Amino acid sequence: MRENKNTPSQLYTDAKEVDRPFLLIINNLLITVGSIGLGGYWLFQNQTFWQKIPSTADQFQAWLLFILIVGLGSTLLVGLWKYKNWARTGISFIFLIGLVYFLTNEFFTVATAIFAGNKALKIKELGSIIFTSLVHITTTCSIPLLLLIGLLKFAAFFNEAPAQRRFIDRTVRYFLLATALSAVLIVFLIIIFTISEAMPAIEKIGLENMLLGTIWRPGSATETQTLGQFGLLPMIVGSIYATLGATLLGVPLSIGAAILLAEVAPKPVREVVRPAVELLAGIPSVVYGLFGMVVLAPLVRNFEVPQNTGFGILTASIVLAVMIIPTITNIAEDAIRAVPHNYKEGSLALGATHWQTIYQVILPSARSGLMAAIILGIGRALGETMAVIMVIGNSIAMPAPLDNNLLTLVLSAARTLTGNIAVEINYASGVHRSALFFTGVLLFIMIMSINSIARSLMRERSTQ
Amino acid sequence: MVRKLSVLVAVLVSVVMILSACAPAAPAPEAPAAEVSAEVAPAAEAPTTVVPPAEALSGTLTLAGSTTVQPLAEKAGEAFMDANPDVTIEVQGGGSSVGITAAADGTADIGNISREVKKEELEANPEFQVFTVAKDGIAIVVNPKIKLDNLTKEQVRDIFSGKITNFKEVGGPDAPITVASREEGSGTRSAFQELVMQYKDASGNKVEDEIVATAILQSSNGALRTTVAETPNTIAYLSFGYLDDSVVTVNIEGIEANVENVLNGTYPISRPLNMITNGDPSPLAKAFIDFLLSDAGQAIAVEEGFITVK
Amino acid sequence: MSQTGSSSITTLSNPLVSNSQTATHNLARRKTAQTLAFMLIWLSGLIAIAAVVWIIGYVMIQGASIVDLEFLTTRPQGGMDGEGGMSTTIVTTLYLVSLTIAIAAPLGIGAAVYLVEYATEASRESIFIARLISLSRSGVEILAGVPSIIFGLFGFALFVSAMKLKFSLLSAGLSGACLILPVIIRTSEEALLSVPRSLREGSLALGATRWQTIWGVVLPAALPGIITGIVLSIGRIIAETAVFWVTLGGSYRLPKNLLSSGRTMALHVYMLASETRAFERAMGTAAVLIIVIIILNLVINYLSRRLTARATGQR
Repeated sequence: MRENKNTPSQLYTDAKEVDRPFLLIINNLLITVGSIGLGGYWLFQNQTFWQKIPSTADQFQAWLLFILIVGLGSTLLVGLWKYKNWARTGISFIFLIGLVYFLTNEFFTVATAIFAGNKALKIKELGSIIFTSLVHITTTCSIPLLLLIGLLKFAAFFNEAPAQRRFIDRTVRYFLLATALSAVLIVFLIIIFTISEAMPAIEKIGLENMLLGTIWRPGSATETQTLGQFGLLPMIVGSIYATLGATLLGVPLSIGAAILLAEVAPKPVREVVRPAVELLAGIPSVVYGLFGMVVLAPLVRNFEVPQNTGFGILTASIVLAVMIIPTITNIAEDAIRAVPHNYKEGSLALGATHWQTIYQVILPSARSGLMAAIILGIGRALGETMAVIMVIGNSIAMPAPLDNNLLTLVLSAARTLTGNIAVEINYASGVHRSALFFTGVLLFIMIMSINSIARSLMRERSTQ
Repeated sequence: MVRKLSVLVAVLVSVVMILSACAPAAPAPEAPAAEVSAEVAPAAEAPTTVVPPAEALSGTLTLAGSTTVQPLAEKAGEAFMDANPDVTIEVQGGGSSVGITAAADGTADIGNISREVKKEELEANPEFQVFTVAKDGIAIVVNPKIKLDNLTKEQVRDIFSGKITNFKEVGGPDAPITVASREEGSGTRSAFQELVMQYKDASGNKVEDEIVATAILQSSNGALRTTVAETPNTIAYLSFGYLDDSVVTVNIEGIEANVENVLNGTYPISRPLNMITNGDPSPLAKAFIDFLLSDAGQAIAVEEGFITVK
Repeated sequence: MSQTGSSSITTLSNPLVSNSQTATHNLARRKTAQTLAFMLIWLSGLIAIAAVVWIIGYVMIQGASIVDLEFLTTRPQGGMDGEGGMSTTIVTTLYLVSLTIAIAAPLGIGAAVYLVEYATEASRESIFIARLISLSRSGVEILAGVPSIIFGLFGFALFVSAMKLKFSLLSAGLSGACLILPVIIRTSEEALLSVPRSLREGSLALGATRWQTIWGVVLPAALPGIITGIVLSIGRIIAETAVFWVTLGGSYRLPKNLLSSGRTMALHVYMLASETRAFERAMGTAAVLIIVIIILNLVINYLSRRLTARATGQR
């Protein structure tokens, strides 16, 4: 029996029941008794609840309290359900949250049972665990779930009065504004927290010592010297060298690939190269690091140079170069494609070869976009952590050539700013930890400036 | 009429469901699942003697700190958990400094350190209680391709501080030395620095030579061992528990690096493995530490290559 | 910009003016220059493909020898050689992804809805709100560029230490949510912007309020794009290590509840490689990781193709 609630007069149908109070009382009594019954059944299932209540006198009191709460609660709920739409929404919401909580609990338990054991489970045991938990879920959730679904289907759910709709409409926008401000809030919090954690280092060690000092030995506090040494210069230099190497190796490759994708390659080749580049973007940085550790480092070790361990700036540059290829190629390709066609056509019409056109016309026109791409790639290389710490050796010495052999500089181990944070944060305390947060702040500033340069370049391109 | 009835029943069941979901929903489903997992967990593989199960212990115990103590804590933890199925023991690494900070601020119940607690640390945390669960020697290891029989303590010190740069200066082949070391927060490194790098100079003052800045740093004993094994011309210090065929130990002052020589005191480089709690240990922590100090626990320590306390 | 272009064109016009002999001589030289240049360009494309094939191929081949059903369902045993499988890491990654998306998706989609639907009108109404909105947009851009280790530090300072959540799923989830928030906001914004105005206008004309329009018409229409964004962030979370290294801790056991520590697959690869040097198992875990990411990539491709089909008229 589906009552159509959409005509205005029938919005007030529910009020008719107030004219028959006797029916209302019987209604609520039935509900109260029924819920007490079911509630008792449920509580008996949870034995531990009763174990917490020691004496029978207390149990009796607990029962009374229970009946009171359930009785009052159910009356209230029924009344609210029938007369107020927002109550219906709220109750269904609470109910759903209870379901989600319960299901999550169940999932955690099942996962623990299956995976926390020492060996792989046989299919039979696996099956029995899943079966038990499915039975459990069914006995506890399915009936109320089905009822809720049936209810929502048959009861006219969203037939609010216009006033209600307007209220929701007006309040939702403030709620959404709050979510929109969450991003700002997070940036704000990041800035505040990292700077406040970095302050002790700035006060006790001093900006000069940190930025220009060449020795990083936080633990060298002895009886005579209460403060360790926190010179960040080796890490700054290490970061710069690694990024420089990555740029030198990666930029030509990426720009070449971008030109290939945008200008030179026929469609079938594009369909192969572009997914390959996207796949490069998707590989996790630890896998790059692992590959560098297992494959690249032994290869680099073959160079007959003193102190060559295979872990150093060269290996890190190679890994970083491959990692920034997708970043640069993507944006560079867009920039090249954005060059107006008539530039290219005019150049070709004047007798220039394709390459001449690319080199003399298209690339210069796309210059700001290309610069933006390169700068974003540099930013990515600067900010990379895990892949770098696995291949760069993490030594605290300033990377320097040995015996004036420049090759040793390229192959020497170093430490980047990001590596400094990642390697030491787990055990740093006090001023040491503060110095690491300062490293973070420094990194933040460096990458923010690089990104804003890139962004302004991209904006300049789009306003041409 | 159907609708009103369904409203009735739905509300009633939802009230009851919410009430019982808030009540311990966990124990009921956990009861069948816990039985299954108890059947599934295999018997203890470690060849320990029968572990006397304590009275029903339950809960989670977290240990954090030294990577040297980590495998010992993990193996002992497995044995302890087999005897007490309601207990979970989580062991994390990070180095001895993590052990100190984790014990101090409560991130872990027990902090593992592979050295003595420093004076400043005791002053900052007067509540610390230190339990020595094993002893460990530190061996000087080189890459297997290097033939080096013996080093004096001074030679070790000069190698690690960068004063000696070629193996031929100490009786080995003609090859430049690459030094590898643990990171700064490591207890193994601290112990090594205290025992080898510190010395009294001519006027009797205590001086410590720094480990050379170009040393390769690794954050665990295992990683250090692999570095020495794979990188040519490398020398490092390593916990006894981590020694295996991939690296070669060097005699110090003529004494071979093995357990007997540490026990009879002739081998100069050894340190205690400690577990720290902030204040009195909880019953679970106390039970675990007692287990480690029992015969079964000490047998596990010996099996891992460490030395018993008794 | 056009000046540079025209000057290049001016110089190029010279060959036509000079006599034909110089033109052909130049032509030969120019053609060799082109062949050379194009060879290098093809080479770079080749190198990119070779890099992908080498890295993924090597990891998969090495990992294939280790990955079997037992590896996937046994938990890591710890120990010096990293024995055991990776089962708990898979589950922990699942937990973490669900938690992060559960936190970030409502925030991100809500923010995108506001920025697209309400922002222009609201900024006209009040300068204060206009400033807040432009602040919010810059906030999103700044967040998008922050390196992940900074999110890790921030999460460490705020969630692990200050809020005393310690190393747990919760602090890792919150930090990860901050990380992917800009991705979700950006992709949802694009998706919402691509919903044609006529849909909104039609709904409003039928008497629906603005929120009813958004909830019932615009959001469902923008759903494929939003889901693409969510799948993208799932890929980012699975691949992310630095943030969780600092906030999740390193325990290899299964997390029992939101406040216990755990290890994601990527973290497991890192720890196997750098702390125990069990390279075969690290390769195995990495292989599983790559397979997951490839599957996710395929899903994204499928979704974006479906999206463009809708937009271009197959609706």
